[in-house]
Amino acid sequence: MSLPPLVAPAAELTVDEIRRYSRHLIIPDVGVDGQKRLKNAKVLCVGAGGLGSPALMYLAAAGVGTLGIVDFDTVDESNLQRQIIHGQSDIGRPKAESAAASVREINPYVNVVIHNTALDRDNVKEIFSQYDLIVDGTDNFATRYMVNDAAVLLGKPYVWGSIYRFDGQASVFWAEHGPCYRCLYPEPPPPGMVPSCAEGGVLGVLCASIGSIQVTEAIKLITGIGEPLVGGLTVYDALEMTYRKIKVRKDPACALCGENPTVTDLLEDYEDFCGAVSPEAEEAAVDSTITARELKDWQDSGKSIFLVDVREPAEYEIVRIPGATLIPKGDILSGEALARLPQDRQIVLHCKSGVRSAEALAAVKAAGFKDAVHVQGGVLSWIKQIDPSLPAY
Amino acid sequence: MITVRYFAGARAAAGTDHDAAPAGFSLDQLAVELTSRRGERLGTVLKAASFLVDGVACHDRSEALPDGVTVDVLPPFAGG
Ligand SMILES: [Zn+2]
Repeated sequence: MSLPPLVAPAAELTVDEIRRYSRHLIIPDVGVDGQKRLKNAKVLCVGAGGLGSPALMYLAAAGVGTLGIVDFDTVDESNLQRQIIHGQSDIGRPKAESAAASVREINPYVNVVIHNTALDRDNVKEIFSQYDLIVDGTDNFATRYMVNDAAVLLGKPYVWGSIYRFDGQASVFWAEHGPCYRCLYPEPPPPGMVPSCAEGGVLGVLCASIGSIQVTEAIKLITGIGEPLVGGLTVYDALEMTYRKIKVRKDPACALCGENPTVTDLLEDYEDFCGAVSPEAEEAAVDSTITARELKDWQDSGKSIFLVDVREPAEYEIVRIPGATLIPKGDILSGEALARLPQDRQIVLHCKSGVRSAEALAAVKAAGFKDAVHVQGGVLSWIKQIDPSLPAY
Repeated sequence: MITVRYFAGARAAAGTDHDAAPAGFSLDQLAVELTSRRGERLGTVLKAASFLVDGVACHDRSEALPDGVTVDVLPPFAGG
C-alpha cells in the first residue's frame, strides 16, 4: 500500500540547498519535488537518546526543514556508548540542547525547536500538534503508550522503534491507515518482567540499525515514495543478521483505535498504567525498605545480615556493594535459590535501582523470611550516598 | 496444525525460531505446551509476550485456534 505524500512541497529550494541536496535531487523518485516536501516538513523526535541520535542526525542531513527535539534528561557518560549525537564535552548538558547543537552543525538550514521538558499528559498534545510526523525514540513503556495515544487522538502518523541487547523492532503506526501500538501490544507487560536497556544492556550500534529504519520510513511518508511500514513490523536480529517483516493488522478490539474504543482521551497516569512495580512487590516493600545509609550503619554496627545482590552476573562484575552475595532475581523467583538463604540472619536484598529487589522481596517474604528487607535505590544509591568512587552504570 | 514463530527474546529462550502445535489449542494451552517443550525460560517470556494470530492481537486466550493459523510471539521491549 502506497500513501500520498504527507507534506506539501515548499515554494522553492535555494541555490545553496540545490548544491547540498544534489544526491537526493538526482534520484528520480525524490527529485526537487521530494526535497521541497522535506524542506516543508516538521518532524518531532521524542527522545534524543539511542534512537533519537541517529534519527535526528539523518533527518537533519536529509534536509527536514523543522526538527523538534523533546528530552528532559542531561547527557551522562554512560550514554556515549550509543548516543552519538552527544560528545564528551556535552556531559552534564541538557540532551535537547546538545542534540540541537549537533543538528545545526550538520545542517544550518534546519530550523531546530528545543523542548527541554518531560513529555506529559498536559503538554503532549500541544507539542505534537505543531508537527506533521513524530519519531518515537523513548525508553520506557509509560511514555510509549502516551506517545501512541496522543498520536492516535490527534490523527498523526508516527514512526516507532525499540531496541534491547541485540534485538530491534520498528513500525509506522497510523491509526487512519493501519494498526497502532496498542493493536500490537494491547497491554503493557507485567511490571518487573521486562528489563530496560539500563538493566539488560544494549549493543550501541543497534541504535543505528533501527534509527535508520525510522528515518527511512519518515522520509518515505513525507515524500510519498515506496511502501510505508504501515501494517508491518520489522524485527531485526543482530546476532543472526536477519530482518524479518511481520504483518500486523488493525485490532478490531483495540481499546484506542478499534470499533468500540474504551480509551477516548489520554490516560490520567501512564506510570500507573504500566506499573513501576507489581502490587505484590509494592506490598512487600511497605515497612521493609531501608536506605543505603541504613545498610551501611547495619554493616558498621556488626549486625548479623545476609546481603543479596539480585542483579545479573555481568552487573555484579561492574560494581558491587561490599559483602554482597550474588543471587540473580530469576533464581529467587523460581524458588531455586531459596535454600541458599540463611534462616538465622537478616536478609537484605538489593539490585540496581530498587525495582527488581522489590520483586525478589515479595518472593522471599512469601517463602517465610518475614523480616527480609530491600535497599531503596539499590547499588546506585549506595554509590551516590556511601561511595561515589564506585562506577555508576 | 498451528505454526508458531518466535521473535527476539522468545527465539533465544526457545532455542528455535518456530514450533508446531495441533489445531484446536487455545493460546493458554499453547503456552503450557510450548513451555513444557522448550523450558521455563520460554515460559517466563510467554507471560509478557504479545501473540499475533495471523497478524491480529489475540485477546481471548482460552479460545480454540483454527487449523492453519500462524501465531507470532513478540516479547515487548521499550528501549530507545
Ligand atoms: Zn489500535
